[in-house]
Amino acid sequence: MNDEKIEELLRKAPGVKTPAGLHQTLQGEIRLPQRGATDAISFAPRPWLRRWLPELSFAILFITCFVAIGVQLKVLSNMTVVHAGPVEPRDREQDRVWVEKLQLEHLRKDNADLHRLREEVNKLQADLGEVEKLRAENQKLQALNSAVATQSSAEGSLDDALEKEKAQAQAIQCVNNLKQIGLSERIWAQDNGGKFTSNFISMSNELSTPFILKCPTDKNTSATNFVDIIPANISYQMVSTDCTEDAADLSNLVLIQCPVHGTLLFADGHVESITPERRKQLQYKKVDGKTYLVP
Amino acid sequence: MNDEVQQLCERAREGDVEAASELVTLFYQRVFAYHRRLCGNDDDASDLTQKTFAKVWSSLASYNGRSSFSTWVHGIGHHVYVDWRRKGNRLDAKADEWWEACEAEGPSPFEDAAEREMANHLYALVDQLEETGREVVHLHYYQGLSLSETAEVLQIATSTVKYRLREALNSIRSKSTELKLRAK
Repeated sequence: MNDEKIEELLRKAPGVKTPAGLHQTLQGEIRLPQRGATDAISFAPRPWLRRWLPELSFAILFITCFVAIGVQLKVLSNMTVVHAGPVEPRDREQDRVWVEKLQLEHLRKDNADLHRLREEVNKLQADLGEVEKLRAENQKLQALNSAVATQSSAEGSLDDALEKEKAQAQAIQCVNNLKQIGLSERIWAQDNGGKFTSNFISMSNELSTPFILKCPTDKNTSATNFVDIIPANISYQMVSTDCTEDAADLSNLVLIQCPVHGTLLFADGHVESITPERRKQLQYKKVDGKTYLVP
Repeated sequence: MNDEVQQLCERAREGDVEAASELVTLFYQRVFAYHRRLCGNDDDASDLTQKTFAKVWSSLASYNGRSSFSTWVHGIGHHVYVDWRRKGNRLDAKADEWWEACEAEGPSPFEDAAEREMANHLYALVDQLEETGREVVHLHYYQGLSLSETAEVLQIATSTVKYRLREALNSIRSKSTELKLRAK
C-alpha cells in the first residue's frame, strides 16, 4: 500500500454520529458576552497600516532612539569643542587666583612669624638686661672676691710669720728645756761621784717638772707626771753613756740631743741650737760609748 | 461560507443568540467528531464539546479574524482535549465495530468490502501512533484541515506538521506491511 492510497483512505474516514440532545444542549448553553463589550474589535479586513502598526511602532521607536542618541552625541561633541576653547584663559585666571591665594597665605604666615620673632626679641632683650645686671653683680662679686683673696693672702703671710715665731719660740723653749736638763745632770753627777746619769728616770728628783722632757714642737709625746714617764713619752735622746765630769773634751761631748730641732746638750752644760743646714754638715764620732761633735 | 461565518461571529459578539446557535449548528458535529475519535467514547466527547463551545463564547471577544472560525474553534477544542489528557484521563480503544457502525450511518465511502477492511485496519493503526502523530492525522485527514490550519491549531510550524505526517504515514505503512507478512 502506497502513501497516496493510505492518505485517500484516511480522508475517507466516516463521519461520527452525534448523540441525541447534544445540539440542543449546546444551544442552551450559549452564554454570549454583553452587547457592546467588544465594539472595538472588528473582523473586517484590516488596512495595511493597521496590520503593520505594531512593527511600525517598534521601528519608529528604534529610529527615534537612534536619532536621539546621534543628536546627543553631536551635542556632546559640540560641548567638548566649546569647552576646549576657553579653558586656557579660565585656567590661567584660576592659576593667578590660586597663586595669589598662596602668596597671601605665605604673607599671613610670615606676618605671624614676624610677630612671634618680635616677641622673642623683646623677651631676649629683657633677658639681656638681666644678663647685664648679673654680669655687673658678678664683677662686683669678683672684685669683692679679689679683695677677700688679697686680705686672706695677707692673713696667710701673717700666719706664716706667727708660725715662724711660734717655731722660734718653741726652739727657744727646747733650748731652755735642755739647759734645765743639763743643770739637773750636773746636780745628779755631784751627788753620784761625778758620773752623769744614763736615763731620765734616775734624775727625776733633780728635774723640777716632767714637762721639760718634752720638746714643745713634738706633738706625739706627753708626760704629765714622773710615773708615766717612759722613753716613748720623752722627746730627747741620750746619745752618750758612762760619761763623767772628768772626761776629756767636755765641751764637744754630746749628752742629749733633740731629734726635732737638732739642739745639742754638751757635758760642760752648754746648749747649742743647730740650724737644719748646719745639721747636715755636722759630724760625730763615737768613743767608748761617748759621742763627740767633730768641730 | 467564510463571509457568512464572519457575519455570524460579528452578530454573536453583539449578543445575537440566533447567530450563535447557527454557529453551533455549523460546527458542533466536527468538534464532537474530533473529540470522539480521540477520546473513544461519547460521554467524554460530549463533555469536551460542551467545554469547547463554552470557551468559544467566553473567548469570542478575543477572536480577531486572523484565522478562519473553523480553525479557531478547532484550536480551542484541541486545548480542551490537551487539558483533559493532562488530568490523567485515558483514551478508550475504538473497536472496529464502532467504525463499521459509523460507516453504516450513511453511504459508504469505500468501493468494496476489501477497501473498507483495509480502511478499518488503517484507522486502528492510526490509534496506535504517538500522540503528536495522531493529532496531525486527525486534524489533517479526519477533520479536513489544511496543513497551515493544522499548524495553527497545534501552534507549530507548517514544516513540523509535514514532518509529523510523513513520520506517521511511514509508521502506518511499515506496520501494515508487517501485518500482511504475518497474515501470509
